[in-house]
Amino acid sequence: MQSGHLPRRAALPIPRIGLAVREENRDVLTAPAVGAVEITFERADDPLRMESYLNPDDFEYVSVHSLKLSIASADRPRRDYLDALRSVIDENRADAMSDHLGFTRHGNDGVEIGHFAPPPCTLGALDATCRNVEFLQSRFAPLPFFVENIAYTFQFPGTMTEAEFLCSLFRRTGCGWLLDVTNVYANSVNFGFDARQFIADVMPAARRLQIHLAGGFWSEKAGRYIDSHSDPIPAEVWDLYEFALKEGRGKIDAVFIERDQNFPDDQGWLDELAKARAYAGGA
Amino acid sequence: MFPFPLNTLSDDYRHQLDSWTHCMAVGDIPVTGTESVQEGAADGVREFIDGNVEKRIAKLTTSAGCLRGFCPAWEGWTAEFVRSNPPPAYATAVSDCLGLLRWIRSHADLTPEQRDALEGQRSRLIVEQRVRRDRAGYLKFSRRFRESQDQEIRWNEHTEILLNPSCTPALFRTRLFLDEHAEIPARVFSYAVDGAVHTTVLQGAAARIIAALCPRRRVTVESLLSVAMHGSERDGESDVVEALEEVVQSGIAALIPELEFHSESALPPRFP
Repeated sequence: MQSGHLPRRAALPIPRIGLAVREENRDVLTAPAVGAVEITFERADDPLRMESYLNPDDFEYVSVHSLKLSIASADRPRRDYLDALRSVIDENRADAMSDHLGFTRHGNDGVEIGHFAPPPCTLGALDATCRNVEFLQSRFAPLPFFVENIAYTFQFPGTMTEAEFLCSLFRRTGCGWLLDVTNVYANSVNFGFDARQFIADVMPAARRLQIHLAGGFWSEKAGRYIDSHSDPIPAEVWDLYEFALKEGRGKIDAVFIERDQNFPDDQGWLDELAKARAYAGGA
Repeated sequence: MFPFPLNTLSDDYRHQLDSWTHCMAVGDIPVTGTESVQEGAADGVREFIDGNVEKRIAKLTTSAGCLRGFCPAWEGWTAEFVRSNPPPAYATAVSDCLGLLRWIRSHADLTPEQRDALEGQRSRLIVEQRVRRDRAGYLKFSRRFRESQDQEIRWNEHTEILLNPSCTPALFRTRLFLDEHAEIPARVFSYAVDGAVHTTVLQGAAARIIAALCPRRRVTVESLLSVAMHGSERDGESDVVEALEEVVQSGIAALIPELEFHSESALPPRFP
């Protein structure tokens, strides 16, 4: 018997590599290259639909990604929203669920702002977010819940850094981190911090991970990187992804490629999947 | 800062969110302005809220744009509604559109035909809302409906009839959507079955069957017949049988097969 150690990467499971489901990539979802899919709840939540959004038998890992749990709100998500979310989770036999670190509304009888704003990094916001995450983990147990770091265009003043906020959230609740690599990159460009340091700082606090990859563009007019999910994943994000894979080695459950505009053809989807898999050591 | 004492971190945070969300929901920078966001970040807030109003109007137009043909002032009403009513928490395209229709009915001077157009669309949106609240019931009913399409309808007086759980009545007071021979006001029913929302006008025995079903949602053929055949407007047995088959085949109601058929059941059914 040959002695010695296997390379560490080979000894650890390779993350499942897959796609965030859009109507435009439905044709490639059942390709062998797709090991995981992420369903956006608000897209799947068509109550008149007679069949499940996907055939869960086609996939080894399904994650349901919602947009309006508003986990940084001061109040728990409302029951009817949770019931509808539960329906989609059950019908598609999801393995995990996720939402964003942000608030989309105030109160269950208040108003909606359309999409998620970053909470202030304060103890009050942290307490509220932890309460909501613990509630969701309890209600949807044993489904693991992941919180995504968002791309933001502004920040409210806080008393701690975003990295400190995320670390406290992960340590207090035990929830997973949906590390959106592109969001980290966009924020680092727009707000002038070290993206690698951010990932290195937060990673030890996260027990499990999912990863998002996408491509945006630099807008001269706005003077910032726009996280538009409209372009191929840029080299800088691939580099950061490689760094995240090393930092999170052994605890990454799935990687999802997102695209919402300027959709590629089937080969374009498959090429990015192949690249994501190659970085993860599964080429 | 806030003009009242804040007791805890959570209270403080709650009041912050209340203030910020109300501003951003209608496209404004938070009232406390750049004091609430990091210095120089007001442009970022503008970027964040930019386009939200237009997106909301686009969604409303998708959900109820069919009413534009009946209401020349539709665009103006929608713009005014959006300006004066921030979207409520958990608003969906359907719930927001129902809010718009309520607002129009209370703020606009509508013709009877416009009222019917709004009423028809309102009932269809309520159907979607009901399906969302009880998707399991919708799926179960639709499966029953599919099964009933594949087989001969067999029933007797003990068979139970289930009203489609999404069935939503409305009343048309004009002939906008009706032919010239239809009686008005007309009872109209919207309902969802097998992936689509339908609206149908029922009159005569069929309308009385659904009216009898509405309060209880589920009754036996026997009790339904006693209402339909012994009310002030009596229907003949054959009329009732025909009407019952009509509502079952259209998907407004379904027969419940689990309880079906006494051993002597036969077609046509025997009624008291």
